[in-house]
Amino acid sequence: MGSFGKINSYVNIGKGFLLKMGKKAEVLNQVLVHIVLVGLIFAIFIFATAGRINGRDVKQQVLEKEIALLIDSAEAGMEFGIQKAMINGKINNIEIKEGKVFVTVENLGAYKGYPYFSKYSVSVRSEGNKFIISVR
Amino acid sequence: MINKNAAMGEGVFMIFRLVLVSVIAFTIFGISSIFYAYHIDVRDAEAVILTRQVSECLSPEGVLNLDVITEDSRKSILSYCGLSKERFYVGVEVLNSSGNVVAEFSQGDSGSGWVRKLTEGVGQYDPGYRTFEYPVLIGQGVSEIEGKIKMEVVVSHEF
Repeated sequence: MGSFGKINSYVNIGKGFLLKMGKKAEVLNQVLVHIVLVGLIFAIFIFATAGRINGRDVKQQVLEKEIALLIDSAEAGMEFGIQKAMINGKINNIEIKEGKVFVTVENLGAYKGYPYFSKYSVSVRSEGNKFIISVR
Repeated sequence: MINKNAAMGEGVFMIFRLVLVSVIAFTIFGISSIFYAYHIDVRDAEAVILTRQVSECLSPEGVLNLDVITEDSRKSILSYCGLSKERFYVGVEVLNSSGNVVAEFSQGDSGSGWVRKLTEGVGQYDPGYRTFEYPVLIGQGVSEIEGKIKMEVVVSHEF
């Protein structure tokens, strides 16, 4: 009987321990879920602000406006080259359509463009590490 | 035994905290969007280039031949010069040596000049502006007289 009572008390201690651990695990689970969700929100937030903070849109604006001004002031027969890798970032693409210049910088797509008013026909082609803009 | 009401309350409180964190994050994003927005204004430079293009078109080598510019073209001088007419106002006065107006050319919204006075110095709403005056020889018929051209160029919004 004595040994049975001892076993019973051990079982009770075990039950109490499990109950205690169960509650702690529940709290830990909640905290983990909470941390993961807050982390997700901040990941979205950082991803959304990164484009602005590294200034890709400013670089894009500078390039589009510079190219538009070069086109406006160019005479027929002129050509000018723009390096693909430059201080303003890596230029992925330059497009000329509907009287506007579109520049894709560091994979930031151009959706607005900047208009030029030249009377000449303007075209762009990729040649090695440069984009060549021709005014004819 | 787990208290179900307490668990539910904890869940609701967690949603509330997440909503609060989201609101704070997106408020910071909104403020940073405004703060980091950077506008580079090149409209004054465009006005200078446009002035040069129009003056080269009207008076190549310093001679303005009024006979080749028809009455219709005088009201659409940018189209006459083959330039884009969007966003621009160009007004040209041709004066003889005594200061009388011999001819006038224009195209675009003449109200741009008035709007410019209202929005002067208001960041990106302030249009590009340039006035230019230079001497020319005015050719009409067989005669050529000395005179000058006064030009006003307004470059409005870029959006």
